[in-house]
Amino acid sequence: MNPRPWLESARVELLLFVREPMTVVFALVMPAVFVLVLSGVFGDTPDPSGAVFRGVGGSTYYTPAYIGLAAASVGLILLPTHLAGYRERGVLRRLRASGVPVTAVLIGQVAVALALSLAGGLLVVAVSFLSADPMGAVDPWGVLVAGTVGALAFALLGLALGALLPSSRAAQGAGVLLWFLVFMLGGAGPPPEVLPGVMSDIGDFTPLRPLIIALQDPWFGNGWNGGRLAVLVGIGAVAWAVAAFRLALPRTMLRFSGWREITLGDLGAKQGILGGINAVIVGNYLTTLGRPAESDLELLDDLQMPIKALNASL
Amino acid sequence: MGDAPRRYCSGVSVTDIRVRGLRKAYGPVRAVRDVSFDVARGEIFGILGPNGSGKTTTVECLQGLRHADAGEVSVLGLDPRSQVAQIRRRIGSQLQDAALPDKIRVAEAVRLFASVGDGKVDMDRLLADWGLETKRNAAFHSLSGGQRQRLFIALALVNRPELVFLDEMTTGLDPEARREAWRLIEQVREMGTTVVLVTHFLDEAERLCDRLVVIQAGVLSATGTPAELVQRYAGGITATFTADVDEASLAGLPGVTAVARRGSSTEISGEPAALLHLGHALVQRGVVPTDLRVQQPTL
Repeated sequence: MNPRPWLESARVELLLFVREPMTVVFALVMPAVFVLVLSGVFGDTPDPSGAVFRGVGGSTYYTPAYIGLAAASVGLILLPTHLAGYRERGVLRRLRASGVPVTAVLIGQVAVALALSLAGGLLVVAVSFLSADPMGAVDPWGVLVAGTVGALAFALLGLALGALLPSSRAAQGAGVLLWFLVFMLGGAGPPPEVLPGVMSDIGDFTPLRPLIIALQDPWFGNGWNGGRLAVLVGIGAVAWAVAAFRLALPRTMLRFSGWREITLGDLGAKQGILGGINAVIVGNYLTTLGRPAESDLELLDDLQMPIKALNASL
Repeated sequence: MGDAPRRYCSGVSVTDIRVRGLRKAYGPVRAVRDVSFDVARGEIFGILGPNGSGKTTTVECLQGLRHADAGEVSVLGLDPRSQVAQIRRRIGSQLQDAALPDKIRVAEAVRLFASVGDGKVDMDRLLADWGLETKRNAAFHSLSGGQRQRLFIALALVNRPELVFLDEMTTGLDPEARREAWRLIEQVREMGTTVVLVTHFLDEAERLCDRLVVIQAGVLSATGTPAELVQRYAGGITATFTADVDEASLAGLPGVTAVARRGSSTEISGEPAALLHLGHALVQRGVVPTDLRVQQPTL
């Protein structure tokens, strides 16, 4: 297989994102500003009864949470607008006609999103430690893994939004709206403990909540949270399937005659997943709670399978 | 349909594209109703017709950008439905209504499209050929309509394809740029590339095409070389006017092929030169109609 279009697409996507300074600044700088303000407001003294901020001080609570928000900002605000704009103007059609794989463009965008999320996360950590005195991360590698899984999930969510919404205007509006929703209800604004019951329950289902918990557990010394990581992988897989369906399918409907399933956690089924559009069985998350991190990383490999399948069809 | 002409001394002509019975409808609108033709290797093949006649849909089906409802299509021996990736590696494509990301630079776009092939591109030569050497680092959104059009044609040719599809290639170009584009396409043909040219410009079709087909309302209405078509269809005029005059006397004028009366109007058909004789004859009889209309039938 010729790797050049994949490398060139990633390079082009990076350059294009960097040339949109306003949106990049918004996505990267906002979380750092928030953590600055909130650390100042709440300080770092834990509540004696442990009733808020999961038992730690405000600043310690918010620092890993805002790494998550950086990933969410990149995924929900930068990606959908960009991709919807491509579709709206016929850019994808133009690329596809000349044999530049659409998947290469998508992977390029995900790669850029991961890099920007990493930069945003580092900025949050730097600002937080420079301005306040939060507890240091007990397991920094655990935080890094959780951040990467979360950034990937949000990037794929952004692709799905960009693939579904009809215009870059609509995508931008939807992205910003979702950003506020996950921000307020997911635990990056008011801590979940103080949210009214209904809102807290709704917040449990928003994608930022599991990421915040997955980042905080290794930070606070509670180990890795396999369950929440698996939820994020599942979100990413569904989002990828939606984007792949929407973007690659229209002219090749007849080829995908069999519906096959990615069964998360069923590692033996990996080999059977080729050449099809896949639905995700979400129910399997229940069996993956508490699995060690290594199998979560293998699950990430599962996400590569649809990519190969798409490539064969394009 | 027309047989593809022989182009090589060996006497063997290779057919690059074979289309039989192509049909495509968008809901109730039947864009392509029944189209069949062959394209031989190394020729410039024209698809001519008014806007909305189904020409673009036809070439999109050939390039695998749309799936036809019915018909056989073979491009370079491959099926665009099932072997589209292989086809796209060997063809070049310039689409109507195409766009690139706003902030991509010209050289970056060339490199991206070249990466699909072997990645080697003589950037300076390519940009100079298409008049874009000063725009090497210009962003796409800063290019004029004509520059964008030239860029898209350059991108279609960047991988030195065997077969290239050009859809309304000179739309938006000034006359000088059009002639330059024609010259470059002829050069492309000299290198052995087959060209499928979709156009609604008669002069372009006449200048460039070895053979062409005319598509109207989704069906072929004519096929042949430009010379054959010009002889067959162009040149006839129809003059209509209202006057009290004896048709029989007009029928005998040089170049007049038919005289008819429709209500109060008289309709004269014939060669262009007949118009002069008609005018002379009418004035001689003291008949000067004020509503004389002349129509030239188009393809």
